[in-house]
Amino acid sequence: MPENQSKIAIITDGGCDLTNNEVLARGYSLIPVPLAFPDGSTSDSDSFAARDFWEALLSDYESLPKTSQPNRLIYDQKIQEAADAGYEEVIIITMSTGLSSTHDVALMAAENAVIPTRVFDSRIITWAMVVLCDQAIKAVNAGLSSEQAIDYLQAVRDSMSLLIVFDTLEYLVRGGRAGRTAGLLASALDIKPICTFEDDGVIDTVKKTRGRKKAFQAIPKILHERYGDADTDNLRYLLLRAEVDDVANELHDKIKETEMPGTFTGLEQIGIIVGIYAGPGTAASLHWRDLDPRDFAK
Amino acid sequence: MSDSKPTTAAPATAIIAGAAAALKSRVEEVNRLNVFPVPDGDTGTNMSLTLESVIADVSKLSADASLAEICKSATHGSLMGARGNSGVILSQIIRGCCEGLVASEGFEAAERLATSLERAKEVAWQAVRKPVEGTILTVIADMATAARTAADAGLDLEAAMDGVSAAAHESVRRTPDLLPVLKEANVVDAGGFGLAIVFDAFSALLLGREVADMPQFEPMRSNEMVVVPVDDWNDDEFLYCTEFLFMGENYCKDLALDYLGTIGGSELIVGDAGQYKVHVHTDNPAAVLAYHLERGQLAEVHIHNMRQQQAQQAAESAPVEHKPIATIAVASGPGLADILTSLGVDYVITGGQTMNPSTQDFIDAAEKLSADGFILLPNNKNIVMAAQAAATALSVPAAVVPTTNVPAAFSAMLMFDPSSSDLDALAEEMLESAEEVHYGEVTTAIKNSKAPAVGDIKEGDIMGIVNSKDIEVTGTDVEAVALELLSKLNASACENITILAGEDFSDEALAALVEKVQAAYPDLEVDEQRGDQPLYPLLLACE
Repeated sequence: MPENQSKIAIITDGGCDLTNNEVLARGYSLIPVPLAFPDGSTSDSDSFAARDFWEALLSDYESLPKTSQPNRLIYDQKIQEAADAGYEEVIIITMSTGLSSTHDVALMAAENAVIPTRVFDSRIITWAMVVLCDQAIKAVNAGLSSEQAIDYLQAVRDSMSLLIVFDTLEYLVRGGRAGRTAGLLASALDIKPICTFEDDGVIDTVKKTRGRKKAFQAIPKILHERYGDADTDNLRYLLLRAEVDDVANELHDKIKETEMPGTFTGLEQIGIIVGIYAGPGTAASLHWRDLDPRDFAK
Repeated sequence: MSDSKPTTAAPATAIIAGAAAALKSRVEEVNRLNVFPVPDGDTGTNMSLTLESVIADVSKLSADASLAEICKSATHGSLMGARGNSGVILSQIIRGCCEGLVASEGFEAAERLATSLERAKEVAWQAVRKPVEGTILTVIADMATAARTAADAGLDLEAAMDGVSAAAHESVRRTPDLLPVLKEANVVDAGGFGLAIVFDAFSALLLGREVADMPQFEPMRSNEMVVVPVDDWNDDEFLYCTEFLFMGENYCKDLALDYLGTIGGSELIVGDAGQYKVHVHTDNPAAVLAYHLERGQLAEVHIHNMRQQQAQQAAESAPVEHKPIATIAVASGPGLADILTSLGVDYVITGGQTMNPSTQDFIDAAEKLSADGFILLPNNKNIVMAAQAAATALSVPAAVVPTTNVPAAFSAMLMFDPSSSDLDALAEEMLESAEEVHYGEVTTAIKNSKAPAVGDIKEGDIMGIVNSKDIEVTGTDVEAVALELLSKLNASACENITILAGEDFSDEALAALVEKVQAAYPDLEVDEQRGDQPLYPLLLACE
């Protein structure tokens, strides 16, 4: 293997809530998610910045676009570009198969790809995909083969805990993505469910609480049950916000009160792909273990 | 028919009673089939009631009553007791049969059967202004035809009656081909089916067979059929089914029918000689009654709201979903019940402090549901034992979460996991969640009393009660007592407050209270809901 750069390209999709330009700086590329607006016009996730999105959502939900899956040809093209740039292999990290069939399109492209291509189902969404891609870059740069890198990604994914507190499930349902949380909607009380992406990549409720304060209070307890006190050196976390900072900051305060919160990497904003289903007032925490790729080399 | 025909009232009563009993035993089966607008929604019941009235009248006759007397009595009884479209038409079939029997006295039995059924067909068809095929009318017509064929072929009574039975069932089976709504609903006609059952039993008893031994004609299997309430008489726009007996001289049925046709549908008038049964679906029962009051006297007036009956029926016939774990809770107040239901409670038993449900109430509730296990939420300390007794008495595993108030059940339900495999562990978790609730009630003292924390209590005082036992606040104003009660509940140490307004606590008063609570506890989330519980203007819960 060359010492300076890996021969494995990492490609993801717009489900990670970043644009292609943003991820290029992180060492990988992405395929934006096509958007179809009610007025018939089309665009993609690269040209609809997070801030624009939240403004549009708050002012007129009906004007928001619907997401669709990227065209297979775009995958072919992207893999070809990687081959042309001198890469010998590709790993495509897709958004959860529990939310989208983008993974199937990627698989079809991989079957007839010009260079060996593996497809990894993140079984998750938004910045959790960014973390997986960052970790993938770290893995291939550490010299892991694509097969080893997939094992490594699997382990990182398994260590992840994305806890989302929706202010309302209304948007999830409007967008048809309520998963197993749908039953909660009928509730007459102000219930704030804490949701996560289960191992099968489908969104589900971890705990139902009365009100946001109770929800945020419950999160450190859930994290403690998940990660315990031992071995938290490699525990990292970031926070996700919707249109404003304060809700996420309130959650951050609760997490900081725990004895072993892990290392905070930043407060990020949810973009259109997730935001359109999450709605305003959403806050989330993402924890994962920054595993050492060398443990996955033969 | 001379050998086996009943010649005195006693055997006649027995045979009619036997036929009525056969129908009664299958009333539900017939009711389920119905696609007519209610109260034809209970066709089996209506036909059964009509027959019971016949029995009541005929059984009053002396044992040596003549055939003519029996027939007159049966005709009168069926008219008096006729209920609903199907009952009215059945009464006309009975009247026609009676007329035919009397008219054909002295003829061969099979001939008399044919004459009777032909007359029944005639009278029944005349009673309905716009006869619809694929209903009881088609079935009686087919029966008459079969009887005529048998008589003309010289068959004996037994063969003739078997032929009529077979024709009746065949006719019922093809009703869906004649009436599209039946086909859409995947049912056969209920009234026709009821008639076939009655005739089968009647025939078996007349021929001296056991009803159970009667020939089987692949009887209709109605159990798996889905009933969709739809209207095949094109009058579902009318709200009230109006029916009554009318006694009046110089009454012109045709003129009256014309009038009814202008303000309703499904109009039927049967009877004669000054006694009639009137049946109409209308939005204006008052006009129908007024029209008849000008012309004579009314009796047995029945007015049913068909939409209400239909909704009730639809609710009752909705299939019960089988669940791994079902939950049953106790509450009084429609708002509280709605909230519990929205949180996943499968059945709410009405009850509480003033009306403690019994163990049997829990068992009855469980029987209405279908589950592999039950969680019971008594929501009152006086009901916990009844729930525990029910839990041991149920045939499937059940666990009690000993909640002592309704808001505790809200919290418990947040922990409810229908996929849990350990019922007791689940109940434990639910209880843990329920115990986080600090609960307060605001109510009015019904007599003079004393309490350690507040001293003397006068009748009419407003009291604030902590955890359903300690009266810690008294006053004269519900809002003031509620605010003070919140401090006793240690609200400032909690994250949220639930306020449940009772039936006598207005929305305006609730809004005013919420504003004051928010001002007093700016850091708390307030969730106000209408509980509409009686006696307690406010229930408060902090957690």
